[in-house]
Amino acid sequence: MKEWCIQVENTNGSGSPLLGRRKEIIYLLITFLFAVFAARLIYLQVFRNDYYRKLALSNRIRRERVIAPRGLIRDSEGEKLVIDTPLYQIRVLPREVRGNEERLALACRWMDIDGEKLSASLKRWEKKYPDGRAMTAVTDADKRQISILMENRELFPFFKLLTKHRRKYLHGSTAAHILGYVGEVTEREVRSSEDIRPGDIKGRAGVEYVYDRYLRGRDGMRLVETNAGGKKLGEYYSYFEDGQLRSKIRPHPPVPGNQLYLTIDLKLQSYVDQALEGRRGSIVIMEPETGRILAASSYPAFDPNTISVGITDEIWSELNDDPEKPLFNRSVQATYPPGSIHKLLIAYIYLEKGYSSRMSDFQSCRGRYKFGNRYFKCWKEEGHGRLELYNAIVQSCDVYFYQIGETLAANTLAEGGTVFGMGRKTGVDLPAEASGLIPDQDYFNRKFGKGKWTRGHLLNCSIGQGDILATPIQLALVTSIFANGGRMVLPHVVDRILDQSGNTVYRGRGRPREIGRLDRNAFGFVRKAMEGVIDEKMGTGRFSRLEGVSSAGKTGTSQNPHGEDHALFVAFAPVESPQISIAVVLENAGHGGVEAGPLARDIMQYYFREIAAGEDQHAENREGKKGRMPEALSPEREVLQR
Amino acid sequence: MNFLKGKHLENFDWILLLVTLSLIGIGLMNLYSVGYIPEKLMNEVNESDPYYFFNRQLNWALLGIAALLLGALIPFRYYELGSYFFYTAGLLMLLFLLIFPGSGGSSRWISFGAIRLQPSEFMKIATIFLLARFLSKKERTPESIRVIALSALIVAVPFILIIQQPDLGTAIVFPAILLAVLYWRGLDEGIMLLFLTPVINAFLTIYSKHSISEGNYPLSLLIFFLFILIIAYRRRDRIFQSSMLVGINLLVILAVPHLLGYLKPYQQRRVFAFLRPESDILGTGWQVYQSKVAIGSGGLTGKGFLKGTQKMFEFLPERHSDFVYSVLSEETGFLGSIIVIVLLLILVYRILSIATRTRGRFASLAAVGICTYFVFHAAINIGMTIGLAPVTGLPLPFLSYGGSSMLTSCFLVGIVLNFGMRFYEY
Repeated sequence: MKEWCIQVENTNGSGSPLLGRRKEIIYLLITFLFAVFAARLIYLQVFRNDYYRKLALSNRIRRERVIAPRGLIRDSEGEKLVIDTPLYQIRVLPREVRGNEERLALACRWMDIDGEKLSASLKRWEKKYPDGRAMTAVTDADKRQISILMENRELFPFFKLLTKHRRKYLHGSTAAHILGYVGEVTEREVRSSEDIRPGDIKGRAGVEYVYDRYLRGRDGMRLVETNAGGKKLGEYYSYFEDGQLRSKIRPHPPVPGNQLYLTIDLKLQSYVDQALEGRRGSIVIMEPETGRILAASSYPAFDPNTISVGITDEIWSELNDDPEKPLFNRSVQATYPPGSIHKLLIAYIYLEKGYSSRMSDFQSCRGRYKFGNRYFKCWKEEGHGRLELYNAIVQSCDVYFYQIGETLAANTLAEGGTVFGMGRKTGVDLPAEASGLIPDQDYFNRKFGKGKWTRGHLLNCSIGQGDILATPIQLALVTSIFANGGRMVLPHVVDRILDQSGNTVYRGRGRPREIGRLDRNAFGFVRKAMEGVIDEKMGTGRFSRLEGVSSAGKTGTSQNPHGEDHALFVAFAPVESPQISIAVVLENAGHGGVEAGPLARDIMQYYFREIAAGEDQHAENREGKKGRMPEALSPEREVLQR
Repeated sequence: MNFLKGKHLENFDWILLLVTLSLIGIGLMNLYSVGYIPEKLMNEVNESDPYYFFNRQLNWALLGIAALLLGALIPFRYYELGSYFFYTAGLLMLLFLLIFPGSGGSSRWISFGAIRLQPSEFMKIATIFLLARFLSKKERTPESIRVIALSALIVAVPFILIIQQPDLGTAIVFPAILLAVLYWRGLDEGIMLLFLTPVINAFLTIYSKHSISEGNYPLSLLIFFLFILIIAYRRRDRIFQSSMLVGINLLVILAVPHLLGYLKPYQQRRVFAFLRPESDILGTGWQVYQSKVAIGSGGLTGKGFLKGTQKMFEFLPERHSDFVYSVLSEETGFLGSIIVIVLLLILVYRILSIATRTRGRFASLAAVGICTYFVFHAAINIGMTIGLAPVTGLPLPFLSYGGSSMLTSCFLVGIVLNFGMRFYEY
């Protein structure tokens, strides 16, 4: 034992030269090791601190696009028609599904998703896009689905919740054709512009399409903090204090789209839409002085809500293949022979060209008119007997107008139409407007060959048949011109556009233009005859007389090869200072005076009882609160001020 | 037997105890921060019990202090006596794990209800004891090949069993302890260099090969080889050993790149990733990268307690265990990091000083083994977080979450305290 003790002294104590050295070496090694660590820490934390701080920031901070809400659309009274609401979509990540099929089935059961259908379409999707991009599983998730997903995010890693904006058309199919609808951009559009990204919304029809530039806001950018899994943990605010991010773009909030104020009056539009329901055709109501369209209806219609949110193929093809063409805006896209309404224009040009002296030679109407070896029928089989021009308009005698057509050259006949804006687009701010057709000499030469057509074609033209075609809005425009004393106006549905701070960035073009070289006498004569159409006992529009308001109009019944006649009617009222003009076209409905006239009468009656009366009230209120609502001033006021 | 006498307290190493308790305290605070979820993230994080690790570690710390007292109070000769028993029991547990692997394919833990223990940690204690006891016999000096071989055998059995788990990181502690204890017992430095240098050389060669492929000059390898040549020259009196030293190292430098060529590309990548994590940014390199970002962004004074962003937003992997030091470094900066390093250094110094002070050979050798345990764990773990050591999964004593590590570390400190206050015993 003693020996052991000495041994220890020898080998372990500081007296031993060998172990003493070893102790020093061990101390040295350990100290060196820890010194290296300290040096490394100084290097990382002191000298490279800036570098790593930037890395730590950009590690967790991501730039994120904030989609700007699309602008609202309101009616002339400021009533909301279209708003932007959040839309929750559930997307499925194909790569996360692999190995989790059972959980996917469970998720589908919990969230009422058709699991088999989802798996099938996912399989197709993966074949189409092998890059693993997400597929929309639920286009419009309800609250229950969202809460189930939020509570089980760990359990269902393959589902991703996406917040988007949805267009909500508050009044369903009311004014559907004017408002239009939106849709997601196509892949080609994405490729065409850098500003457009997949999933963006774009106007596809109606004012949504025409004013897309205004309605679409400017997307914002924000910085969000994310964790390592890329999960967003909220917005990062202290950017400016840190100033450390390598990106130069500063975060900015999204700028919402501008607000559209339409000229459409929701009350009137709803009434007109209802009046037209179940029929086929179009009604356009315009303010004659300004061209403001107060209502424009086309039926059959559609509900934009069903189209604007991830429309399914079934709904789309149903709408597209429907023979009734519900997506077709008949007010501006459909063309009809104007029928007897065209007689107003023929009568005007006849008078203007100074042919009135010949009228005394005209044969009386026996129900038909012999031209060459053909008979041209009057709509009234028993004939109108002897008439002068006034009554020929009032009673809409075809035979009388055949004789005018016989007198006039093809180009003169055409001029009657073109003076009033027929045969060309009115320029209304709605997409895909048709120009209609006013045939002139060139047209006939082109169509039949020079010298191969007869004046018989002109006879047809003079009663608004044959090749003549007009859109309902053109008819409303013509009526407005007669109503406002011969001024050409520009029909429009957008009154003004306001940006977020309430500044007007766009104003509907309401400036009327005098039609040059208008023959006042001829014009006045025809306008007077329009009054007769409604007021005279024999007038074809006598069923359309309004109570307490004077009105003027013209009926039309246009033949068409595809069945029953179209019933047409145009009118304006009151005669003294017209407030509205209206054009009604009912496809295959029969006689204009019987079918279309009373419909127009009811609408005008409604207008004067419900809306014009209220507006007077409004006007008084406005007087009372001077300057309070400058924006509500109609453009006509502006025009008058110029 | 008398547990505690006045003279024991006289020789009690209070500094060692204080340093240990400080490290435990810092570790607990750090784990609290790891669990902390700031209010703004409350809705986002789906954690039923964020302080799970903290709460459990608190219990482990209390148990650890009990283990420390246990290690300190029972006279160490009983531990010396029981070392064969401990060793056998440890081996049986490791064998049990190999034959009945635990759930989830992992065979590192034995479960006792909610408590899971790592037999490999306790095996470290048992091996240190047995090695110390084996070499404490006067005649067993490392001058004899037989003694070296038997010592190696004591270490090799648990080493191989743990490699089978597989847990390479834990396993390589054993050879390190063997080398240190043998060195302390008087192993010839020449022989030691003969064993040690080829291993270091192999790592440096692979490392350099990678550097050359990146267009860098293999400076570290050249310096190392120069170092070997100097040693060989200084020991030129033992010409056979010196020429062996140079020859083997030269062979390694020439053969290793060639041998690497036989490995499949993915195996080569694994070797590189082990040595240079940042060459494998998608795998372990990612962890090291994020750890360096955490530490580097901490700066001089850190981001503040509870405020580490790399931790908070979960960029740091294994925040509660392997990379716990990165969390501390991010939040307390260089000052906090260096305090922990200094504390560990004091701990190691105190253990070494007891190793030299104690009179019994068993106590001295065991203390050196224990010292190696702490140095190795701290070096590999901290080195890993600052990108100087491979990612192995070795815990940082007292700071990393883990019951086995906490109990083992505390018990070992207790044993050293035991040696210290009974330094005259043998």
